[in-house]
Amino acid sequence: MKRFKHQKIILSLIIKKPLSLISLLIVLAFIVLGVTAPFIVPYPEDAWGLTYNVEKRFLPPSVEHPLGTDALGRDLFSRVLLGSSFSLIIAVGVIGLALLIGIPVGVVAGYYGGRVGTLLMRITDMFLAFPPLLLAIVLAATLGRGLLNLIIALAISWWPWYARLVYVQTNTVKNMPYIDAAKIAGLSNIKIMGKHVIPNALTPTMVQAALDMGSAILEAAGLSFIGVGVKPPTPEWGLLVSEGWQSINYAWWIAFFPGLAILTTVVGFNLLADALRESADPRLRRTILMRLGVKQ
Amino acid sequence: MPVSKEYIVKRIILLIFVILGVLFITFVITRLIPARPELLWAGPHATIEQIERARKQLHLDKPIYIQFILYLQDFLTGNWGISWRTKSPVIVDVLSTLTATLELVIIAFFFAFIIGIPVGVLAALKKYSWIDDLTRIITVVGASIPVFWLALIVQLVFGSWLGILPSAKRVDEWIVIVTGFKPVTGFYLLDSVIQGNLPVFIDTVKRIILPALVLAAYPFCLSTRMTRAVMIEVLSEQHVKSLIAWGLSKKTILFKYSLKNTIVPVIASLGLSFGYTIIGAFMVELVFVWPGIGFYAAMSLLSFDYPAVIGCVITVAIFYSIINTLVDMIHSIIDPRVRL
Amino acid sequence: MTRQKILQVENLSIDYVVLDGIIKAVRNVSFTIDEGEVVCLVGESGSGKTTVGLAIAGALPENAVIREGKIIFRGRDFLSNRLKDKSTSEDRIMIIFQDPVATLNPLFRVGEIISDVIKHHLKITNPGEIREKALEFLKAVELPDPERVFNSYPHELSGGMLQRVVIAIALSINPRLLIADEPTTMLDVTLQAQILDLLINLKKKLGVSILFITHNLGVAAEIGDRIIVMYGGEIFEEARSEELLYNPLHPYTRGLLECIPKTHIKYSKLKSIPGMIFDLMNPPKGCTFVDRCTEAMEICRNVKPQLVEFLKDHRVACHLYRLEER
Repeated sequence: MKRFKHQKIILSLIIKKPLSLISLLIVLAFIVLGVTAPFIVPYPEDAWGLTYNVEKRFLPPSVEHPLGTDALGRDLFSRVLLGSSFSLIIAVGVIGLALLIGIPVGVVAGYYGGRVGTLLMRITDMFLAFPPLLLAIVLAATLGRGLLNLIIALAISWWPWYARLVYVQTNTVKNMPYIDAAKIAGLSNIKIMGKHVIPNALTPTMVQAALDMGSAILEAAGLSFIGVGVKPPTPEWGLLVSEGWQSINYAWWIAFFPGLAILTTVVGFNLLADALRESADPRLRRTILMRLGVKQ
Repeated sequence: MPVSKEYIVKRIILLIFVILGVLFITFVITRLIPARPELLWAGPHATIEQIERARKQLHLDKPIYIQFILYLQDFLTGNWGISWRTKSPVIVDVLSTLTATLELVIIAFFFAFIIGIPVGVLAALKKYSWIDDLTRIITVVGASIPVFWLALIVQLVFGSWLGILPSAKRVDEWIVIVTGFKPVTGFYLLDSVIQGNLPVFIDTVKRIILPALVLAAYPFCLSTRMTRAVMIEVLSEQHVKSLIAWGLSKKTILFKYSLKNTIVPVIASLGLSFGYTIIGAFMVELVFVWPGIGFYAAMSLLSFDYPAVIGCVITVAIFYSIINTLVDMIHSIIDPRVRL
Repeated sequence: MTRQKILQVENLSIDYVVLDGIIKAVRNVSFTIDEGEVVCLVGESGSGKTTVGLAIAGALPENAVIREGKIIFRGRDFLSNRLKDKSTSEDRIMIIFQDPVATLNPLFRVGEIISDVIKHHLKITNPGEIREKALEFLKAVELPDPERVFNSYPHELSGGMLQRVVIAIALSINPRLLIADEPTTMLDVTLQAQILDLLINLKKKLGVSILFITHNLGVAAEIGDRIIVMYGGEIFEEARSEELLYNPLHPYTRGLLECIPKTHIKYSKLKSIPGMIFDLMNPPKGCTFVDRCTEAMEICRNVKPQLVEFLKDHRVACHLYRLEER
């Protein structure tokens, strides 16, 4: 009951602030487009990069081609639109895989502690000694170009952050009285972890993970731009920008619009993250409410 | 305040272990994950002899643990392989690029923090005013821009369309030849000042502005948002409330006490900021043809020059560890609680 | 002997604006403090005792609103011209807090903080003079080696030492009234007694009045000249300490006294008052204690009892004690 009220307040807070509402709409639009893009692109063959059309090269934006055409005469709008599918797959894939590695490591290290825990966290720290993305770069260079390799490379540089977060949460939860109660009641360690530790330690991690999707999209695009991401002619946004780079002086739109798509999507995720963080902080929430003129 | 010698020694020993960890993970990724590492090492169009030579160089005929020891030995003796793109030893290539990157990153950091911290403090003090909202929008958008795209757009608009600033390379070769400029430290701004070479100095300044600003965008947003968040947190803490209750002036409470509490964690986060920035430099240097380690790494990646890539990655990772150690030491100087 | 009244609180009501509405934390509270007197505000959490203290010290949090009332300090209404009219340090009410560790900024040496307070209020600019004054008070709070303490960071000192430092800071500008907001709650029992002794000594030496806020009636009895019992934002009973302890009138006060563990009776059961405090957002119409009161009557539900002087210098708000029936 109380919890429900709490969530309702957070939701109303997000909707009441215009900026947060916009960000919510951007994220929803991104997800909807990402799922439906393969079925609704106006020029499917252009979108997938299966054809080229020399006569239509470098056409500026027009009614027929709202974002113009690229160096091979393909409809840029179709390619950018389909790019949202790839970004969605990358975001979900990277975050999902990172969670799949990070959560077990964090929970086991946090719950059992001792030597196993120390060893696991030392390994985590070793990964964290690399600047963000650098590890993904070596991995991607080693595995070679491709969508799956890109997702694996990013996830492997990503999971240590979740392992740390889960580890800290598990440590907190572990010392709660109800865990002792469960132990006294004779529940096995596996059951305690599954029933009590994981659900309670996971909420902050899942929230963080959902909000990290923007960063995943951004970093994947960066890798594609420097040539270790997806393979051409995949219409991934970072690769599209890179393709438009050569002709930027006479056909600026080819590099411009895919970048704008990245920017808009990531802004959506990051603004939403910001709004959620603020509404989750009771002190800030109070001040926001006062400012919104919620009935006092 | 001097930090204890023990603390410094402890940190340096830790640093050595961190670097060993970095080398270990790199070893695993580059030697154990690929089915035939020598193929990657020899490059895409290698002959059979070249592949065989790469096999020898990597000691792939020996057991794994000996491979690792020899790998460490090769690393320490500077035997990092030959870049097949530039045909010179990777270690020579990499070390010659470091100062260019450092110059760019230092200037970018200077912009980012000199502007970021005051803006963050202002936003915190004017919490929920239009200033705060504007800062929030700018910093969120700024942190969401793909840096390579921003570099392209800035280069296009200021370099090509408006023609205000040159937007490639560190300095014009003609000016270097005509004025007889000889870099000593490798930091061109510093060198040109020392040698009193005004034309080179002006040209260098002109050329560093755009890439530095583009590179500064992300750390600026990070430092601003962090400063704001920490300041708001600090202002709600009991020790600030006590000073208010004891009647000290607002100026003293804010600028003498709270500001220090705010800056300490912001400085502690410098290392991570640096990490993001140096990775950003990979893309920014590529676009602005800035001959630093980022440009070298990006070119190597684009041409599948594997030994060069690994050299860059290890160098950057070690550099990052050193910076983090330095930041921790600075942190321990300004925060008495950290001193061990 | 009529002593000068140093502080008069009249009809003070304070609200907190929070997420789900308004908490009426303090309602119609009136009391006085004489010069050189120690008055204890006693109550459980949520009784509004701390809010009253913060209001007097001028240190209420941002979301607190003083709905009505007056706080008259040394003859001047404090609320109508706050902040401006504190020309002398004697017009400043100082406060010490519950948690000495959180009270002091961890990044600054103790000496720096106390020097700033002295410099600001006593208008001394000579660093040597400031330092001397600071050391004098660090010595006055019986800190061993004041020089070392002066140069220490808060994390280098123990909780008990820090609370002494805080007391030194608060008294260093020679205030006429000190608010002590549960200054011993976070300390070990042995330290509690030391700090209480210290406060009593300093009071005698400096002639400062103290408003001592605590949830512990035993502590209040030890230090207070007078005790005010608060519950749910209202005053329930007020009397001189001995009077209140030996002749408690309000059922709530009696309940509190029974909660004090009695060391001379072995195996006595620890008592507590059953029930929880009411919802401060919607205070009941009648007596706010009615649901937990063992002697509740029909009238208690509907009519709010007024605070009346039932015995001499002994005020109580309860329907059991009505003036006309005396």
